[in-house]
Amino acid sequence: MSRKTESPFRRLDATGIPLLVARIVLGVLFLWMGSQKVGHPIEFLKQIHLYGMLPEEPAYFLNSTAIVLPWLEVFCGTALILGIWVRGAATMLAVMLAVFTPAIFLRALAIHQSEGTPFFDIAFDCGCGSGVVVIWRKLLANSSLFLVSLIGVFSRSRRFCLSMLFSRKKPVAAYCHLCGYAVDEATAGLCKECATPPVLE
Amino acid sequence: MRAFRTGLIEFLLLGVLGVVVGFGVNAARSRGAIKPGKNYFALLPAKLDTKKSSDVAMPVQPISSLDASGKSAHNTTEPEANAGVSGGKAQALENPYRVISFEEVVEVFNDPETESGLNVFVDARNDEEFEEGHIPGAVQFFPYEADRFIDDVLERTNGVLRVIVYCNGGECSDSKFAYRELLEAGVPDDALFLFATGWESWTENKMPVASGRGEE
Repeated sequence: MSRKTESPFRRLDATGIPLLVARIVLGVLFLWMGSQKVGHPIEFLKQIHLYGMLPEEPAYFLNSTAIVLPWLEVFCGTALILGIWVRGAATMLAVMLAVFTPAIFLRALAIHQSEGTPFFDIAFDCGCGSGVVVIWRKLLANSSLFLVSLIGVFSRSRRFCLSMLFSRKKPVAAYCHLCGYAVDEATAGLCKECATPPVLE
Repeated sequence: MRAFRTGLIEFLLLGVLGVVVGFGVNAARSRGAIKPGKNYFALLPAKLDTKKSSDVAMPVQPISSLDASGKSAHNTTEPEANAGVSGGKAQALENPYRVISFEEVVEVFNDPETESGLNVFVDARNDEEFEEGHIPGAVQFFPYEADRFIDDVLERTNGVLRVIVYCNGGECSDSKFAYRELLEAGVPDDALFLFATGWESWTENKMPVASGRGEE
C-alpha cells in the first residue's frame, strides 16, 4: 500500500486551532454586524439600494434582501461561534463576501470617477453594519475575511465544535499519529488519510 | 465528497432559516417593517405634457421671490430635479418636482402665514434625526414608514398654501420619495415644494432649530 506524504497544512488543520480562530473571528464579527442591521432594516434597505445591484422593480428582490440578509449573518455568526453547521455557515459568508466586496469596490470606483476623490480617501457607509468606513481598509478586511472563511469551508477538523456533541456517529476511537484525523471504529486499523495505523488516545 | 454534500445541506438550511425568521420578524414588527412588494425608491415620472407641466409648475400662491414658474436656484446642482420653467420649455417638461432654494425657504419661514399654519414644513428624515433637530414647526414624514405618519401629515397639510418637503440635502433623496408619497396621498400638486438642499443648508446658515417632538 502506498503511503501518502504528510501535508503540514493537514496536520495544522487537524489540531483544530485554525478553524477555531476562523470561527471566532468570523462568528463574532458577523453576529455583531448582522445584529446592527437587524435593528435598522430600513436604513439597511437604503444602503443596499445605493449599490444599484438589484432592480427597483419588482421591489421583491431588493426588499427581500434587506429583510433576509441581516438574519443570515446573525445565524451564520451564531453557528460558527457554537461550532454547528460550520461548513454551511462558512460557505454562506464566503459567498456574501465574494459578492459584496467587489460591489463595494465598484461603488468606490464610481465615486472616484464621478467626484474625482482619490481612491484611498474614499469613505462611506457601505451598509456593512460598521458605519462610515475608509473603503480601501474595508476592502482589505473583507478580502482577509474571505480567506478566513475558506478555512471554515475546507477544514475537516471538528475539534472544539459543539456539533461533535450532537453527532450521531460513533465516538472517535483514535487519532492518526501522522495526520491527526479522527479514525472511527469502522475504519480503525488504518487511517483513511495517510494509510497508517492510528494511535489510541 | 460526503462532507461537502453535508455542507451544501447546511447552507440551504441556513438560507431557509434566514428567510423564515427574516420575514417572520418583519411581519411582526410594529415599526420599521419593510413591505416586500413596495418600491420605496420610485421617483415621479417626467412630465411630458406641455400644458399639464406648466400648470404643475405654477404654484397656487406664488412665493414672492419665486417667478411665476417656481424657478429653482439649484438647477445646476441637481439637474434631475430641475424645476425651472423659464430656463426652457423642454427642461421644464422633464421635471416633476418643484424645487425651491434656501433663500425662498427662508422667505416662507419668515412669512406670517407660516406662523398661522398655512405653510407647513415636512421633514422626511428618520426619528433620530428629526428628534435631534428640525425646522421649527415641521411635521415628520419618513417616507419608508408612510402609514405611521400619513394621518398626522394630512391633517396638518389640509387646506394649507404650501407644503415644503426636505431631508438632509446633498445626496439625500428621501424628500423626493416623501413628495411622491404625499402627492399619492392627496396633497395638492400645486401646494408641494421640494427644498432640495434641505437640512444641510438650513444648519449651515445657522437658522433656528427645534429638537424633540413636544413643541409642535
